[in-house]
Amino acid sequence: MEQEDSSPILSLLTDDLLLRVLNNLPGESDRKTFRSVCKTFLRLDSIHRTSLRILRTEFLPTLLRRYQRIESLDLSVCPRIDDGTVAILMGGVSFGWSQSLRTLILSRSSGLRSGGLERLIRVCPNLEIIDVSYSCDFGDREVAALSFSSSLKDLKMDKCLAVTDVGLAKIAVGCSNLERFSLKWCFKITDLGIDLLTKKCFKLKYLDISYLKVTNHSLMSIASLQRLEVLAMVASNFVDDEGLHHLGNGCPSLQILDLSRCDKISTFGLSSVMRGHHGLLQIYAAYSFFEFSTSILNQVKNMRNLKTIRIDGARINEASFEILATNCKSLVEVGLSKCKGVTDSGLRLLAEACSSLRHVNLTCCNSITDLSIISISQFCKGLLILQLEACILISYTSLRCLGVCSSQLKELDLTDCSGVNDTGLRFLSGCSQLACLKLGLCTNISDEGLSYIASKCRHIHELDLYRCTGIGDGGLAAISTGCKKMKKLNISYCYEVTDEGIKWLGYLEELSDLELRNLVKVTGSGLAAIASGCKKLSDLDLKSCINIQDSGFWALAYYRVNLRQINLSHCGISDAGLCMVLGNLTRLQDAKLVNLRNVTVQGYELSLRACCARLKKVKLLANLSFQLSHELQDTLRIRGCRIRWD
Amino acid sequence: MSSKKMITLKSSDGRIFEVEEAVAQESQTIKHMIEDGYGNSVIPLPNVTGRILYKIIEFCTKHVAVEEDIKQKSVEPTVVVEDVKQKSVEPTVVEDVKQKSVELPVDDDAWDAEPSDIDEWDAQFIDVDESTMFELIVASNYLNIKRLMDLSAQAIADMMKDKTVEEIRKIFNIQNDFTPEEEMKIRNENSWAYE
Repeated sequence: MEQEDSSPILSLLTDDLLLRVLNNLPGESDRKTFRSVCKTFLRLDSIHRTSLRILRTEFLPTLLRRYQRIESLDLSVCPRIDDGTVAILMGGVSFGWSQSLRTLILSRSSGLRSGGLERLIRVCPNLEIIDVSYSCDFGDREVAALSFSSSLKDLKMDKCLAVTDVGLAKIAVGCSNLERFSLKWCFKITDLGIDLLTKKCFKLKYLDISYLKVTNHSLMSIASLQRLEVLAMVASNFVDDEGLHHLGNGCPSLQILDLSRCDKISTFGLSSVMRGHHGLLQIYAAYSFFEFSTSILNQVKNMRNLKTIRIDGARINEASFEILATNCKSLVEVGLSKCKGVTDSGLRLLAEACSSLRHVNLTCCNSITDLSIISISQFCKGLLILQLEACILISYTSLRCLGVCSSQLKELDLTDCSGVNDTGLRFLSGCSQLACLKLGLCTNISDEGLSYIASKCRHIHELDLYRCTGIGDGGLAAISTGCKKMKKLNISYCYEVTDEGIKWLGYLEELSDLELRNLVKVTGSGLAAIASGCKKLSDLDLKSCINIQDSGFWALAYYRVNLRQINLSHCGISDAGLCMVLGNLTRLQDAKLVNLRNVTVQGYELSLRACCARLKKVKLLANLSFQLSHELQDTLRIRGCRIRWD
Repeated sequence: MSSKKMITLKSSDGRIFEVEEAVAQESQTIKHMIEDGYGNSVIPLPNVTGRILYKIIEFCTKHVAVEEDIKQKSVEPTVVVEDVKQKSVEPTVVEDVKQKSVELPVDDDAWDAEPSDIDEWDAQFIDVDESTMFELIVASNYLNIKRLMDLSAQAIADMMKDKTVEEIRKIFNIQNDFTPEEEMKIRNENSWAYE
């Protein structure tokens, strides 16, 4: 072909060499550019792509015909999946895509019913991972459809509220190869269901029964699972020490245990589990105990391999730190959020002994000073995540040490640390690998400090400046120039910000989550700049931005068609503006529309009707429940949209 | 050391190159040929020009030398401790570090003699014009030299990163063979259809 004569890359490189090059282009935007270049590249992209996350149902048939080798299909952000969508999928000529499919993500698809689900499952013989979490209307019949997938290894059914023991039994019998199973919040499940599950699915390695109303009998059944490695039972408030005692005598392979927020258990219960499992790697016990007591400490002495321990909310003393330091030198994560008794000397002991520490949570440990941070930073060379919310005694000295000794730090939470100022931020900019920085409520920082961070920390993708009243347009200009990878930004209540600053944000092409609450100096032109510039914007919070005129909302409706969540409460949008926004934003799933003072009841009726097929959640002022027609409210409910009344 | 065995390679344009056996064996293709008994005669490489073969030999020689350097230095672990000593502020830390030097998550490369030096050398090596780069990747594929294949694939991909469609077409001299309708369809899919 003449094409290949003139272009050396196409004439010299064979398909497999070009695929090698494509392997080295992991970014989505680069892949999309690649496939748009020429037919050869388009064909190679079709062979290469293995996972697909579809945004709109109308593209489903084309995309599935083009990508025959996908292994993972994610339909969770598609506006509305129902049996009709499945019929479209089945209507395609070739089922190549269904043979290689291993992973199917259908979370939040309340529209799917057992018929459609069964057809889909039967067509994909090699499915190993299915996620149907948060599909709140899913009941036993839908879950029975899932049980036809005998190769299933990983099932997530969180918050499928209507599922009972009957449905669970079908899964237990049909999917005996199950290795990972999550049923958080499935409140109707009882001990009977769990018992059958443990008898039939003995290959289970990961089980999440958090928030269920099951009792000690379930733990007795679970104890028989020989291969179970991870057990999560957050907020299991019907379980007490007797159940934990059963667990202590069983589950020989247990490595990770999460019993956070369990009201009825005590430290004796946990210590009986620890007595039987000296090889435990991770213990999550946040807010379950008042004290990190001697019974637990005695067991800790035997746990040489412990990597993670979270005891948020418990009281701890110096002796505990000594015991941890002497015995658990492999610790990688320590969670001491809201713990009383955390001191500088205790933390120094821990840091000195556990140099592999990567994640330290000291939220609300308000008696620690710069000395703790200096110890941790100097001894723990691999420190990646440090949470210091409300540690008011921290000053720029700590930040100087972090900037020099912990330059690989990725996440830092300094919310409500009033000791943080511009000097501190200048020192902190030495941590050039920072990806997530939280500076909410730090009122002593200004644009100057922020510009140091923006110029050196180029990898930041999450920045929280909630109520940082010292930040203004200059700071936003700095962020926009320096932090090109920014994805999540919160500048709520930064009152000094005006349209000038907001326009700078329009240059952040990766921005997907933006919170701008109560920025009274921002008007329509500012919003229009964001709307046209931030191409990946999917979540926008404009609550109480009372001075944004309709021109801004019209721009939003025109440009940002892929917007998924929006909060317009207390804004000055008009009837026409609201109609445009809800009508044009065809991917909108969640809208908060409380107290729109310029919108009439008529306006609400029309706008909500325009989007009732796609909306999944909407929040409205309570008295609208009397004013909106019953017909509209019923339609919304039937279409799977939840209305929350404020 | 005893004199090393030399292997003779002949490029497509008739140039002869003599290389040490260790260097020649960086190429799996040549290694198999030697194992099959062709090591004593001239090995013809009809798919590789002299110019490219010269560069490939330069690459393999450098990497073989670096590996031998590492092997020598790995016998003396004191190198690691000295580096870390300079970094830590408190002298007492050195005791712990000596025991755990293999576990420090950040210093995985501490055993490499010159970790950043060889990467820099590689970067300079691959900083050539496109046609040379393409010939290198094709030749390294034929000769089965994994490290060079990965390096050149990465270099070509880097040329495509963060560029627009038009820029890529210009750089690689590729014609747009889509009809306007096809191009519109692809653009739509890119923007609205999937992630």
